[in-house]
Amino acid sequence: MLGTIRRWSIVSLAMALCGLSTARAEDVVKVGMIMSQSGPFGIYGTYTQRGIDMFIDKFGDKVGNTKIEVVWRDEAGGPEHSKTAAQELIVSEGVQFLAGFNLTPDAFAVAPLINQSKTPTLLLTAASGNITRMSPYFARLSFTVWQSTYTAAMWAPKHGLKTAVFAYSDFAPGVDGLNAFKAALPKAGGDLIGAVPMPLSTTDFGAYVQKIRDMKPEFVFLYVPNGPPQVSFIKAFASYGLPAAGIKLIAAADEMDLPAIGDAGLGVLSVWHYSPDLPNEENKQFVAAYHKKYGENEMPNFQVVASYDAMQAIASVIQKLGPKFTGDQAIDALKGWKINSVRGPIEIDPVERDIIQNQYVRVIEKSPSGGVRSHTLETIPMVADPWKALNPPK
Amino acid sequence: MSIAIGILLNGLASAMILYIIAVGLSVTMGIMRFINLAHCVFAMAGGYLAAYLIQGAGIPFAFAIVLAAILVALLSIPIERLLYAPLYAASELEQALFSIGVMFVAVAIARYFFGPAPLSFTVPEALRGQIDLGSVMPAYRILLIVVGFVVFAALWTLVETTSIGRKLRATVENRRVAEVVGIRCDRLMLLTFALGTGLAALGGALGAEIMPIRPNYAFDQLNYVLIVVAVGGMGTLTGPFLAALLLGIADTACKYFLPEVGAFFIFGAMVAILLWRPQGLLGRA
Amino acid sequence: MLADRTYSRGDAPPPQAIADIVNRSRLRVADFVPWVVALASFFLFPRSLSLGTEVLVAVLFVLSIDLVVGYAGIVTLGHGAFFGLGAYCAGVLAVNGFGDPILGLMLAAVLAGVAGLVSGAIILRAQGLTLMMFTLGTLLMLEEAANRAGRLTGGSDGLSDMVVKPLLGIWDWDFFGRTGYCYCLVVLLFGFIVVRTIVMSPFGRSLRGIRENAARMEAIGAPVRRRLIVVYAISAALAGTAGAVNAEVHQFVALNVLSFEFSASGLIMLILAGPGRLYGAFIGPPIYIIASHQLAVLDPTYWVFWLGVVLIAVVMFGRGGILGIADNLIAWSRAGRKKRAP
Repeated sequence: MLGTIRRWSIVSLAMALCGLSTARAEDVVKVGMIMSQSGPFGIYGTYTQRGIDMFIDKFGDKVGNTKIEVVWRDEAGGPEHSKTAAQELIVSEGVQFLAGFNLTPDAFAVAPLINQSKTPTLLLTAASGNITRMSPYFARLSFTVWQSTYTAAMWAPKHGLKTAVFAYSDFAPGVDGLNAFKAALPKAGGDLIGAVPMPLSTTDFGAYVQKIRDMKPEFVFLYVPNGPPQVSFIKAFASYGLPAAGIKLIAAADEMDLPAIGDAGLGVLSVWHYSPDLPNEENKQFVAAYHKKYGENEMPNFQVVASYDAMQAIASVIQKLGPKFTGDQAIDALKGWKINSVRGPIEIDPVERDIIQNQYVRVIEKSPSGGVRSHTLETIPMVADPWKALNPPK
Repeated sequence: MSIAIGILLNGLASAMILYIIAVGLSVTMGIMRFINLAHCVFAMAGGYLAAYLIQGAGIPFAFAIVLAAILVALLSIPIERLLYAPLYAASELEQALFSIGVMFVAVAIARYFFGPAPLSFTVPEALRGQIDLGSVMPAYRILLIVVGFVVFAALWTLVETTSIGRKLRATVENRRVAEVVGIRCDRLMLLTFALGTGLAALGGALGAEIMPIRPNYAFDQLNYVLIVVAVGGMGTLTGPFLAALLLGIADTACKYFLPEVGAFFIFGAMVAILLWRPQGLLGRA
Repeated sequence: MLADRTYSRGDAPPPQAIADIVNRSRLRVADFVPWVVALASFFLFPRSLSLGTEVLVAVLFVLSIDLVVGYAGIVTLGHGAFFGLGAYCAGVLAVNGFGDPILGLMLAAVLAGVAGLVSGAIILRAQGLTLMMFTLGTLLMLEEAANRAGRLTGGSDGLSDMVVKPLLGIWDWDFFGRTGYCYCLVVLLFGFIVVRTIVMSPFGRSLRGIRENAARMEAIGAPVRRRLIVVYAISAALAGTAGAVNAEVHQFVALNVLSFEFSASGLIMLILAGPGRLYGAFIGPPIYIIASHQLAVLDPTYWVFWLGVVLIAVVMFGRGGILGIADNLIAWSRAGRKKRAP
């Protein structure tokens, strides 16, 4: 009985995989995109689609004779849904890549699946360092928590900001960020005088801001999700007079939130892997094309860029291997892949399959058109995920 | 000492926004006995409308907020007649699920018209500074405290001294007898609904600076508003005021001194108070 | 079995009443339909078994909700708390070497049942909004506790190192989800038998009496609160079972099972089909899950709009949900036939 079922499984799986690698009448490589489209994170889906559209505008949707087709599934409803969606995409749609993943648990949930089906999976948003260790088929094009937070903690004390308070949303990524901060700050000569955990559902940060003000640090590092928490905290920070009291704020204030943050964000620093004002040629063209397509007031952000880069990665795999390839071949092609991306030079680490990219220290300044925008102050080149270096695989 | 003052004022400020939004729900639940989980949709509508009036039509801040509240109140009248009134006799489950349906529809409509990003909402220059009252507080929050007390005083006067107020109290107390005595209850309920939603819109617009307006707003704020109503006691005006005050100040103190307790405090406090007094602090037993 | 206290003492129950009760619990052909459909789906849709498993787990969950909401009239916004307790119980056991699925299932059911008993005893003295807030408050506190206890539960990243042993030592958990589907189906069968037995019994009828008018039931001497607590505990155990099965089949548990959205979706699935009907739980989940999957593919950003519209429409026009509408149609066609008969 056991033997029969096991044999049946292996035969069916083999048949399914054979089905995947058979070229169709018109060569198509399908990419399964599992990304938030509805609900509070729906905006990430919008930006991901923009990245895809920007890619198609510039490069077309074909590599030679092979068309790249992106098949979407909404990431809402929890990791079980993501797993179901991934299985459906692999088995019924015959996708050769998976991409997306806004939330870490959703990526974790598909790890056993992609191990069995050997599907290369590109992480476009999720930022926990250990995801790429969960399966040899993960490659990351987004960023990691430690990349930005550790770098910021190493940077700040060298620029006159020694005493710090770490304010964070009390969930796994926030705690991860705190660990990164604690690991780096003393090494750079700084001192963590307090950590303020804040529930994820908090909308009114007044009490926390007040507490931080009374702790009198030289700077505050904020780790909360993008969206209303960022906007709310930064506005409260300004309205309670902390900038005037000489306390600096480092937050991952991204372009998607700048319109809502407004003048309250002036002077806020960030250490981030993309900024629309980067001077490289690729970025200048990209931003110009983005304005033309979406309007002068719309700014590209890290999510658009991640998706744009992912499409380039997929295209390069098809360029190298043609429309028929195994998962192992694809992931090998991705290891060590490097381009001069819109965000500067990037590389996919050949061992950890994680992204190596520049970190930019930026400040928010007034924009000539009346709103606010990011201004890059400093570049810290080619930062690999520090967590991996400090936590070698067992 | 300045810490204590700071906590007091902070607690009051967040309490007042919650109070202004929640009082409408408390009264409509008390008088209509309708579990309207979609109450915060009207608060969200107030925020969006006010932002549109300020940025799109150039109307001054204070006028825009009041106008938004009045408009939402007027718009809620046909909604009440068409959608809510037929369900007054429905079961609690049906009312709860109906209002969840309304929330879903509102999320989609807001997303469609205003996009998914949080609304950019700026208060006028004059209100952006800080005031030192023993602890440095944003001027805007002090304004919220003042407005909150004014609203409470106005509502209290309305209910305790006017004839409409008397009729309201009678209907909440015992609807059948009120009808027998000649009070036009369904007209009164309509009026109350409009007042409640108008107040929610006022709260949403006033609070937009602190609680960002976005399509998911109704879900974001639902828990806190429900807690204030349940702890305060349905059907009263003073109940939510007292509840908001107590919970707001205690929650702020907890955040300041024991941030690790976090989200447990507010739910734990609610459960504890309701175990002690299931009808709420000032509700009818 | 016929210790119904609505008859005066000493009287033999009227023959019609006996016939009624026996008649009700008799199995009809229609009772086998859902199981035949479920089995057929296994063979007809071998590539969609993951979706099928999701539906089966939802059916068990909604059955447990129907027991308290539909039959006993306790409106709970937080039944997912028991689902989550069961899920994390099975999950934590599997991470720490106790990966036998049946063991995990049973322990989860016991844990959730005890939690239901304890919380029911505390909160079921309340009604209406207060009761709803109790259920919501405990759910959200449990969610926060699971979030904080990262070492135990994986926190917001979820519990991913589960090692679930093969079912009965024989069947491995395969890629297509065949083992998972059959496992869920068998567990659902047992759960359904439990629910049906309760519902068909005098205890079940007294629950309906309590839902209709608790004061009247008190007046005739039924121990209202005790019965409510018992049914709440049983329903909690069932929900915990569903959670455990879900965790074992996916080998993953995440915080979303403790979210308000999850519990609300259970209520939504129930009301779509009609609460208080034994088979409501079989119709609601497939329709809701399959429709929302399809809608999400068609219009992922705005599908919630249509969900909201459907909910509003069902409550306003389709009293009793889909089964209620079906009832009306049957009655209407019967009335038509009667008219036509000479």
